[in-house]
Amino acid sequence: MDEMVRKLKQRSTMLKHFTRDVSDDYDCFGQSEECGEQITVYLKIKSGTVEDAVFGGMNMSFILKAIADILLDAMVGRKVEELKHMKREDWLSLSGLEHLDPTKRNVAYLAIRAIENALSQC
Amino acid sequence: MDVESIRKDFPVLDRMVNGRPLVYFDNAATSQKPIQVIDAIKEYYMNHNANIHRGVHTLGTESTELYDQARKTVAEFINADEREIVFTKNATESINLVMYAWALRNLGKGDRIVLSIMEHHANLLPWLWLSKVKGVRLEWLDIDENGKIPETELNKIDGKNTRLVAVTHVSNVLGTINDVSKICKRAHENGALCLIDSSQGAPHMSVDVKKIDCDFLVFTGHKMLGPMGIGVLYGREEVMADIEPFLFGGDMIERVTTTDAVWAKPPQRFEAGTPHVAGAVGLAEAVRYLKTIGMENVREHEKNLVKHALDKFSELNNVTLYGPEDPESRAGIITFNVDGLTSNDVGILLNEEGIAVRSGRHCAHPLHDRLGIPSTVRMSFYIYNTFEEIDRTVDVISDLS
Repeated sequence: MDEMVRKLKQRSTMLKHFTRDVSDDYDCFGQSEECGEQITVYLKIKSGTVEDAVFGGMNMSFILKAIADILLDAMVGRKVEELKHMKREDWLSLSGLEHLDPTKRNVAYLAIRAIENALSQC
Repeated sequence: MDVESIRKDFPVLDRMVNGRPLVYFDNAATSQKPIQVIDAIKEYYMNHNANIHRGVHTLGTESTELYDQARKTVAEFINADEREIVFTKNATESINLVMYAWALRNLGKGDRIVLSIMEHHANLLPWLWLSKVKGVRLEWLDIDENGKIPETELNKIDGKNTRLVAVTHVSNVLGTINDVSKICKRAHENGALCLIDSSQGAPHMSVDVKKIDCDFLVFTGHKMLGPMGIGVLYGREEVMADIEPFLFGGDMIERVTTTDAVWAKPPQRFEAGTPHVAGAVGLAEAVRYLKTIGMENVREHEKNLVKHALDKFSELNNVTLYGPEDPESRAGIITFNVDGLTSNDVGILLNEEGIAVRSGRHCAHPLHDRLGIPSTVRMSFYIYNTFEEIDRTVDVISDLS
């Protein structure tokens, strides 16, 4: 197992933004799904800033969970308008994931699509 | 069959992935290509490339001959007449052709199409769409706990308005080899046509359309050592003769005026526009390659691989297997889940070790719903795979959870 997988595996056991139970006071949410793997991102917005971000889903791989957690961590405290203009590559560099190999990068894109869908509702 | 010398024909098998020699177990998605096929395509473009049929110049004539010869080669491969072979883009387009050209114009409310629950979306969505727009009813052949269609399910193919039975030859998820000649017999006894999706069959076992006695049979070149972008529709001559075209354009007519047109006979009638000549040439070379090995030997090798894999997997206590337990009724496909991990976890972790498998729902969502599972991991074999590759994979899986 390479270093990145080890890190992601560890992260998946101590997720900060994962939830099984979403309260309904979130301002916007977005979903993405691919081949049986589904992720939903929920955002709480205050004065145009992401105050809180959580995610849930179905049949999520630990790699998806870990990457989503890292991505959501990076967006908390940032301006919604700024985040809306980010491209996929920007998300990876914002969260220190720019060195993911192509396989894991694809997993990250699934999470990023859910985030983008959530932001588009904010 | 000498696997080691076969492997030498496949340049990509020399690749390293994540520091390990590649193990390619994603053959049900697409096969790798031998140097003979790569060279045939290159040779075509370097020495013969020209548009076919029209024109009298040398290259045009050579291209036409190569394309016609490819059709003959493919026809012989499945014991059909060359006039019964339509070249398409892939198996999906072949099925869509039958749906648009025949079913859409001939079926309506009250008619029924019988499918199986193990269909790939390619042989499901065209019919689902047809049921929405034309009110055709879909009936589904169910599976038993072994992933096989029980004989009693065939009673759904009855004389009460069944017009088409469209069933896969081999399940791309379970590996189940269906008794397609029995299914077609039943269809014909009840006045229905029979379409067989042999995308996972034709590359791996001897296929004889006369023995199966089907009306349509489809497969794709890229899963059988050929290039992507070339597919095949076999259509029984008597059936195809009465079907109007699906695509309109160059090369599919006898003559045209401003008020009328006379369609060419099949297969040209269904091949409007410039076809994928290099693809057909590459597919013909792939067929020659497979014939040299012998389809009986291909099947025997894959059966041995499956038997070995099933034995090895039965020693693992962290794995659930799906599909028939008996290698006789199972093609070279092993589908499973690992306790505590999603299929994508497993796929990514195997890739870390240089092992290419597919994870997800394999374009068979209704089957996964039927099995009550969100997704699966699939290993699928071909002529160049070895027992050692299976052992290496099983070793990794046993350490996963």
